[in-house]
Amino acid sequence: MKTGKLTLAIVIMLSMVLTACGNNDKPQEPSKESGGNAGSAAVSDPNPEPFGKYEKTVEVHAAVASEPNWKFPEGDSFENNAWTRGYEQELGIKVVYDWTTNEGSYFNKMNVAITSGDLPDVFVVNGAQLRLLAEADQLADLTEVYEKYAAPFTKELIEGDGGLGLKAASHGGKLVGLPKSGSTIYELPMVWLRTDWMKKLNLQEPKTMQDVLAIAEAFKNGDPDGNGKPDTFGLPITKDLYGGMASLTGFANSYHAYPQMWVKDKDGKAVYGSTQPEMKATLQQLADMYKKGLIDPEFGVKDAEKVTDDFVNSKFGLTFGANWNPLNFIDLKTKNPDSDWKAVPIVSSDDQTALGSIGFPATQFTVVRKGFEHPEAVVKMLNFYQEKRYGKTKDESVYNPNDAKGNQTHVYTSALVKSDKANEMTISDLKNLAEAVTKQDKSILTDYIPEYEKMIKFKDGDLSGWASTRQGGPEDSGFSILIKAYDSSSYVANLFGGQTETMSAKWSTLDKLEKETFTKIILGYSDISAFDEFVEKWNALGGKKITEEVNRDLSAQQE
Amino acid sequence: MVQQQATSRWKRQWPLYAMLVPAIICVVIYSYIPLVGSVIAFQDFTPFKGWFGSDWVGLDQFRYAFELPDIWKIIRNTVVISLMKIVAGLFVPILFALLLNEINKMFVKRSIQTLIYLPHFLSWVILGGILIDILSPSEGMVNQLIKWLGFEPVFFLGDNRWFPYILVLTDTWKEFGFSTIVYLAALTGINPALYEAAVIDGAGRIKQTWHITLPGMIPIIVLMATLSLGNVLNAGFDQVFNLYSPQVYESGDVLDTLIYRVGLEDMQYSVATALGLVKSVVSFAFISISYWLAYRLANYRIF
Repeated sequence: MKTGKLTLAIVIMLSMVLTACGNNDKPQEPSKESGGNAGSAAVSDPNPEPFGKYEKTVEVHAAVASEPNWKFPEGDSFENNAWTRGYEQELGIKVVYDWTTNEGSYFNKMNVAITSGDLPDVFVVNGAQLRLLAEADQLADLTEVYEKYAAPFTKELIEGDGGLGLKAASHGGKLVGLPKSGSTIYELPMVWLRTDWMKKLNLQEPKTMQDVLAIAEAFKNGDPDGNGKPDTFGLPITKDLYGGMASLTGFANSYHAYPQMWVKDKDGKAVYGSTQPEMKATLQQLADMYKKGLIDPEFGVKDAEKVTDDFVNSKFGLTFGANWNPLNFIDLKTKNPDSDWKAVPIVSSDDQTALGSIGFPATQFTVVRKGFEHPEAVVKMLNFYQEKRYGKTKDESVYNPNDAKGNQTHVYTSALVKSDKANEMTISDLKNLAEAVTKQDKSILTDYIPEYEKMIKFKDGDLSGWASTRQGGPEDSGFSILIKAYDSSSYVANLFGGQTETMSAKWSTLDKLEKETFTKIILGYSDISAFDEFVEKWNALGGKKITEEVNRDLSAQQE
Repeated sequence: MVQQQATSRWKRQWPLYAMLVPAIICVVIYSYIPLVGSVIAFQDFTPFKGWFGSDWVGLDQFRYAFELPDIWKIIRNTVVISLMKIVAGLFVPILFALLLNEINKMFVKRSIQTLIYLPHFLSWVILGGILIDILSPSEGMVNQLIKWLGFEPVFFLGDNRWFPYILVLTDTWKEFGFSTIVYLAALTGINPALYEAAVIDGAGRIKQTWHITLPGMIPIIVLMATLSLGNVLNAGFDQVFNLYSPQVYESGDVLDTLIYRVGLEDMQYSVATALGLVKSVVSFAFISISYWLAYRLANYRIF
């Protein structure tokens, strides 16, 4: 209690002490090498080899996020697995993890590391940190090493998003990080329906938002679980409001609202989706549903994990969420084998097509500390990752192995430098997966081998493949919705993935204001007019300035 | 002569002073040296320019901090919650110590003492999850009881009218065992002869408590009160952070959670430090005042 008083201030201040120490010797470091200029060894290399092995092992100190519940094959760990061994044996790079922590606290911890000046050689940062570090000239310039060392296949994958990721990873015309690109289409929201409840209550697949609302009402009042108690709800929400589980995003999309992202308005200017009039209509609808008892009154204190428990306890049969939701329904399937789910696309509240929101392609970056002697090592590791995961020499048994029980391990996601396929390639992989499963022909596959095998198992009556089939099967699955939405361009991507000056200073305040206001409106604590007050306040507290900055940065990028 | 006395005292007592050294070193390293870092409250601090390279901005950060939206509401929440915690944290253990003192069976007394001390060792991360379940309006134990008694269930963690009291109640429940032990220790220090004399004079249990036990406890009560007054701006970060949610920001957002968001999420170290400094200065003032009061009112001195 006594020491608690100053704890936070002390933590921050203490890190200042370290900063002072760090700063005292840091400035000398580059000057020592300035004659040789960091990285010049690489640049002057007449014959850059993307997969060349260092003669003398190079030690790389690194920091990256990992989850404590990740599983590895017997004897392996996050610090010692196929990737770290591969780096060492094939590239001559020895990776030493200075620290790692779960994704939820990684960037806060990285903030402390940045403040204390105690940076590893290679580490992952978010947009705000990239900007901060680049402005302070703390990052190695990767422009040349990327040009020289990136393998053609690497370039193909990284630039598969039209160069958005590389642009986001640049600062002042220099490439200062490697984007951790991925398939944003994975984030597309969809509607998940419990088909055994639908059948029981004789309900049809929804064509419009009105149908969805009718289903929600039926699930609340029709006693779909047949226990004679009114203990089910129409629509789940988590206390974070947005995310992959029980999210409001897909619901809002049905009203053409795009919360938590930057979209173009009628005049082509970027605006923040949460403050647009469509969001007001969405909240009005949610408040009405709450009044009718369709929404769990306790949603405000429940996180995704608690809501998952509710799914398992058959509280909900309708939800807006991501393609992987069935993976969280496995316990329900085990407990209640008659239960089943299917995915349908989000539907519109009017005659315009509903578009699902997806994120910005690159929001995280792998960067190299300025002064590190081998900046090209990070490009080599990226080459290595993409070749072993997706390239001609890929070997799933080494880099995506199962454990002794036949369950997938987390080796595939434990590489230090990662960047995955962009949407276009992923969609074609998903189409091949669906075809392979339909024809039971493994040779069609271009990826997703573990998913394929689980689905074949399910076809043979093994329930352990149920979740994979609902996620990735040829019909009514999460992946099938992704393919449909991508082919018909029924999605809206976040326009802006960076950070502006005012954003880094004000965002948590604005985000708090948004979630507090929205939660209160839904709960009926505040009238819907609170939305207009929120927009006014949001603009006054920095939102207006941020919007200007976002538009400024976007137009600068187009030039 | 005086000189000699002092020297021989030093010779006798130096091992005791030596035992203090590690503690002093820790206090210097972890409490005094970091104080130097407070300078960043007066700067526009960026980590790479360091303490002395960052631009000086005078009181701008303080001005900015006190113009943050909701700042006054947050300060009000902080003071209200922490004052209630101080009061409850002071009187509940006294009452409990007095009651426990009346129990003659050593085994029962010790068991209760241990049981009430146990929650002190649980972290708020764990308790947060448990409390959300226990206090749930639909399935929680507490509300099952309330419903069984025929009342409407209460959403303790989602209702602004209840949330601050739940914070005080749960914090007191978690921490009162520790203070109880401190008071029990004070009780053993009271001379039994006083009680014997009181019994001869015809004093009953209540009179004994009022005239002997309580006066005997006064110094330690004053000490505990003095120490806790320093917490007047300290509403307990761990607890609030693990229990609050957007719907109770209005009544539950406190200075520490604001500092966390500003400092660790937005990386505005200068603003966070400015707020932290304000907290420390106010706490320091309160401790000084209460120490002076303790000296004047109870003739109590720490040094």
